[in-house]
Amino acid sequence: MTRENEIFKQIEQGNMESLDELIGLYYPEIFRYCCWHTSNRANAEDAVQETFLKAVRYMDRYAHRGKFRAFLYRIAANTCIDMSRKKYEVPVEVEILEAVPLVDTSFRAAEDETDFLSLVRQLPEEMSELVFLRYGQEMKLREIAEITGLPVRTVQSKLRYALKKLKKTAAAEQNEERALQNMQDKRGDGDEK
Amino acid sequence: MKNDAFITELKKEFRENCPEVCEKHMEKTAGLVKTFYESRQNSRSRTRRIGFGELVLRQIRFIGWKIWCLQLAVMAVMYCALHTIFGNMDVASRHMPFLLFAMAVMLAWMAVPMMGRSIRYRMAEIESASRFSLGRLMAARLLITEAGAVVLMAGMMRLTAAGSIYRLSEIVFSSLLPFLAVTGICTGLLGHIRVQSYVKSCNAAVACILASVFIMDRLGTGSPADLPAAAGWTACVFCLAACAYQIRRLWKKDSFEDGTVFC
Repeated sequence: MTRENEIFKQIEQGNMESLDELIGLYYPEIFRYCCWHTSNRANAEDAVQETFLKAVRYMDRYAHRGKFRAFLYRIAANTCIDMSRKKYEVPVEVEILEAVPLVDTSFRAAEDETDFLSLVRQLPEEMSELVFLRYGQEMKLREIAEITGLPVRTVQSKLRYALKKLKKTAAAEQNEERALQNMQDKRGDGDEK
Repeated sequence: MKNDAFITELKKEFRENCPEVCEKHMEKTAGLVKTFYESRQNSRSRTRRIGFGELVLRQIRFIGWKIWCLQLAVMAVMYCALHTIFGNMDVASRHMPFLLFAMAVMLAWMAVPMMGRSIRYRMAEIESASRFSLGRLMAARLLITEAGAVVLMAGMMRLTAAGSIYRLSEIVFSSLLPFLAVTGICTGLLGHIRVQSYVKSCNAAVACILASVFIMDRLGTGSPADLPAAAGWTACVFCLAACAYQIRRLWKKDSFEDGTVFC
């Protein structure tokens, strides 16, 4: 019996410590997922908390067949969508804002976000999601197919297409940068002369 | 850049920009979840579970009486129409099958706005309060609506039979068969097409059927009343089985969300 099956059995028998273990098992990856889909860390933390609460609320609808991860991801996705629709922002007191240094450690730390991640975000929503699940969450194709409801082959072909598009865009950006650099160098040489 | 190198670079970027988990928040979440779970377990041990039968009875009090009043009003109109038609036997014999067909289609269609409204407002609150799946709630409401419609159908068929113009099989094929067919179509569409398009699709289907009936009446072509007995009764049994299958499928449905959240 897998660890997850054991945990569910314990929960059914009323062992609350197993709930702790279940949350510990999935919290980091669901938190990463919510960080990717929300605008800042505070919202992501709220989203992940809401996800686990909803998972308990809808536990009756989930018949444990080893697909709890997919179940959690669906709830997380819906929660993040709901939050973005409501334009959810955590109200923060001004005094707290002034006291706490501005360190945003979410995926969207704007100035620090590297080109690759911004390129991934520029992809169509579905493809960006697949790339994130595959390379960000390091999931298998079958797991991604369970979460998204797409056939495995479709996930595979969309990922292949997404990677192709990413590489093309990355190459184009690199060429642009190189051309800009060359122009700047030429201008610098011209000034020296 | 080769594919492997690109993927390695991409994974590295994701890993490097991965936010750290706040242990305090994780513990807080775990505490909240445990409290919530315990309170749900306690409230469940206090509340009494009700069966599907009692759910249906409660739904009658909530929505059933409104639908039945509307259907009674429709029956009154139908009665006047049939009474007027029976006043002219020539018209009755020529148009009755088509009129019965159209009325049966309209009776079956009456469940659509109720189902569309229930889906549109999601019924999530009722679902979470009653702990019944959305499918069972829909099945309960559908049974109430169709029960009223069946009573009306029986009344309509009885009135027609009282006119002594048509045989029982002709009346059944003109009324019960299209009723079952349209019920099967409207219930079958539920869960197979986008939720937002459900009511419009049913309306379009019913409009096409009614238009066809009108054209057939004008052209004087054959009607379902003319079906051979074996074919007609087989069609009735088939449509009844299809309706039963659709209601069973509805019963098992947890959600009417269309598509996945990633599309």
